[in-house]
Amino acid sequence: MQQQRKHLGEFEIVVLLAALRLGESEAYAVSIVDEIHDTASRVVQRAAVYVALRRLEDKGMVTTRLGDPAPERGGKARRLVKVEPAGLKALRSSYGSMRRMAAGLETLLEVEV
Amino acid sequence: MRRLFLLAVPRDRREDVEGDLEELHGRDRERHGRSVAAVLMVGHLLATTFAFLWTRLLDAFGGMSRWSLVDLRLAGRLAVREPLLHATSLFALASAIALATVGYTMVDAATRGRLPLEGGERFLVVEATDREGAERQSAELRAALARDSSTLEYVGAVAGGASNLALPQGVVRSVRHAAITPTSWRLLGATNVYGRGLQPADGVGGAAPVAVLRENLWKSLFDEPWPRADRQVQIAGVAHEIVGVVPDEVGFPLGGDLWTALDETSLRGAGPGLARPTLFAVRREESSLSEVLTELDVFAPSLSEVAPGEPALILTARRFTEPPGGVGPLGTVMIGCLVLLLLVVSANVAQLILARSAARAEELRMRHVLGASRLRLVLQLSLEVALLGACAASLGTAAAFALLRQLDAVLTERPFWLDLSGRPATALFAVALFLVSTIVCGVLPALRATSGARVRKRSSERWHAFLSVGQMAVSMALLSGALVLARSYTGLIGGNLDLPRDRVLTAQLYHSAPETLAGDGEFLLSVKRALEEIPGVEVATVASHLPRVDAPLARVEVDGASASVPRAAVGPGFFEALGTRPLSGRFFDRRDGSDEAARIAIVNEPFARRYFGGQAVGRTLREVDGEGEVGAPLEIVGVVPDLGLSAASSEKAAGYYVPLVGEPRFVSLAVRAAGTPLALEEPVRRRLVELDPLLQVRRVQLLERVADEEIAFQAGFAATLTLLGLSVLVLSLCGVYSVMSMAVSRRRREIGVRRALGAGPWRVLRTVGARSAWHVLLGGLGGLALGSALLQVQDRLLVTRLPVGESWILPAVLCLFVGSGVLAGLGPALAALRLRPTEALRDS
Repeated sequence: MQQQRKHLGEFEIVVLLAALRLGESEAYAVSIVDEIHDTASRVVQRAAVYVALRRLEDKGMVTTRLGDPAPERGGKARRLVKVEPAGLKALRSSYGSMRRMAAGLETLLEVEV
Repeated sequence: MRRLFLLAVPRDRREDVEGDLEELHGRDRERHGRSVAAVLMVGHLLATTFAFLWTRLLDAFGGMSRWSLVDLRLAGRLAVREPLLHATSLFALASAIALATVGYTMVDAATRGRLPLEGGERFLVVEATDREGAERQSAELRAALARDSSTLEYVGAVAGGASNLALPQGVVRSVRHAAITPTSWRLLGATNVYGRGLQPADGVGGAAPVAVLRENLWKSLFDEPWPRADRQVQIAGVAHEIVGVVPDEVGFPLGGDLWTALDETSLRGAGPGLARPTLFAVRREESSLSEVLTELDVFAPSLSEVAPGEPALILTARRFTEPPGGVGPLGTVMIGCLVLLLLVVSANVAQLILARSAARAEELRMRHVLGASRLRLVLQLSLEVALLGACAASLGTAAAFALLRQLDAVLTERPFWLDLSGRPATALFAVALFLVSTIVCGVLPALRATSGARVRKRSSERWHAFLSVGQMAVSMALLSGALVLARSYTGLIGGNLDLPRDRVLTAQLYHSAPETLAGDGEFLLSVKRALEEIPGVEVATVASHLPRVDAPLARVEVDGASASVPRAAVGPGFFEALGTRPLSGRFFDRRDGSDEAARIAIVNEPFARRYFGGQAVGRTLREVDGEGEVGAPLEIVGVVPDLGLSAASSEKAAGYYVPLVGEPRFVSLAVRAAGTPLALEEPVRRRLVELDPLLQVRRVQLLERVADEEIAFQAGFAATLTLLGLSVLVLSLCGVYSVMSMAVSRRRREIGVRRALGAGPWRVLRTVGARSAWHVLLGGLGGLALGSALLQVQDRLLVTRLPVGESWILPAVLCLFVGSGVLAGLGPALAALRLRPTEALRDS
């Protein structure tokens, strides 16, 4: 078993956040790519999302399961992603670190939510 | 593509990833249309495949440190268990790398050589011809190109050939001579050993003739060190002053012993012994050859203004080191042979590695079932094969470099720019090529063993069969050729001709105006008379061909029968110079005037025996010309012993002699000495230069050394063919061995069952060896046909007539072949015979 990392990579954070936003029933590779594109205006490679999900799964931060087959997918199922408590914990940790690091720099960073 | 995708994406992820791709494809189709969507799909597929492949490779190598030592230990144990197969694979791979490196270096040097001068790759030969193809190079053209071209930075001229160099004290040498425009001298980058090089002032009309010598020639001519008081020499009859000496490395344009100056304005001054000046140019660094060619195309029509009244010119240029007319048919054949050989060798190596890995198919399948991933198995096999390849690469590269060094030392008469030293880049290329092919061949069985699909054996077996038979045929043909050459070689060195030893000095005569030699025979008679005036000369004579040099074949009719036999034209005193006596009749003599000479002939003893039963004097033969016209009868006035009209084959020596009257453009000289013949060299050269300064004497040697060059060539050629033939033979025997080994390992269970049911040794041998035996037999028959064809081609290509009529050669090679095939199959056959039914059935 590989040792779990405390901190997530920037791309992993983005993927986890997209999965959380989409919810357990709608999060899969294609929709995660779309969500990142629509929300963060960032174009990411789908292949990179596969790799990131695989790593997160290996670390126990997400679990995946096959959904129902869909006709627009040639009768193939989606692999739906669920963020696990370990993933949420790591996300909170990373987000907290980032906030602490950014504290006092709001003006400089011009954070807009 | 699909296979790669399936290999990269883990089995449990295939469905959803394929679903994602399908979904994206549907979207793309709606947005962009069917065609664009298809293209985008390829991109999605590639990106997904490589992403998964990369991740899996990283994962695999992350854990490599744990298992690489285990795998290495396993590879070592396997090598010890199958030493013959591993040693054979190592040898085959090393030979392949060595052959590829040597072959590629030679072809590359011959076709893409570079002048060893600064900017040598930019040197070009400029060719100018008219519409009829006649050369039209001129001083005006050079001046126009130098003035107007924007792609050429310099245009010069050079003429090469051979000339007589005579010292005041009487020493005469025939030397390689180059006349060059003096402004070109700076391009050679030569640092003079003594004195100076050519200077622009040397090329001004009316300048005193000067020469620059190569250091070797200087040392051989002058005992005293530079500067000498008297450096005047005669070159082709013209007095020149030696103004400098350059190192031996200087060789432009075609290797040379001395350089003189061409007139810069008129390009005159090349001397009578040299070819017409050729224009050469150096293109600008920023211009490519195609730009030069384009400019020359545009430039050619404007030349009519430069030289009004001259026919329209066609201008073209080629790299200086590129042979005129490209690689030529012989070069194409060489490259074709090399490619063929490499294909055979590569396929053999592939087959051996395949056999090695295929023998482990069961083990790989078992490990896969026990949980080893495909990638892990593939990486393990790659590691093993890469190790094998690395050992073979070291051996092969070392062998190639050693061979190239030998060739570099032996092939001295080659253009000075032809660099035969092994280049690391070439070796790396060969090594990389074979490593990739061996890794691919090594991992294929692992992929097959773990794919779960049934392997289609038939096509691969057909391929193996085709390969084995083909290479055996090639090997047999090469060995036949080598044996014929070896036979010819023994004929050359071991001939029992009755020729004098250490009595006769021979040489070749050249004249700058060849028609002088081909006149009415008076000039050659004056040569004979002049030489016989030298003290110590007993008899001097001239002939079209000396003994032990193949005389050309002539068609004759004898008693109504037609035959092609060797014919030589000889001057008065030829047979006397060789110290021979007529077996019957008489020799040619001064009584045979030119009218008489046209009607008489002397035949040798083999001819008299074959066509006249030994009684030839008084009989006649008729010559048949190229159009089939039968000439007047030639009366046979004498019979002489076999004096080597055919160099290597006494069976083909039956021929005849006619008087030498106005025929040849080049003749040979033979001088019978009262004392030591080599002491006559200088007096002969001196006397002939006095007779005519343009008459050159080359290749001065004793009569018994005349065939040495041909002997060396044939020995080299035979050795090369033998080496190639044996290499291919060993590789094809490796093929036989690997096919039989595979058959034994694949059919282990079947052999066990057969033995258990009472099959005898012959039955078992037939099971495993029938296919290999067929391969050997078919390869042998193919080799017979290919060998016969090769012998015919070889006979036409070589100067010396070969003893191709010897019918024992091909069957002998066939026997050697079959015997070797049996030996190669012996190991696997014995393994099959030793197999106990209980072991075979238990293992399976």
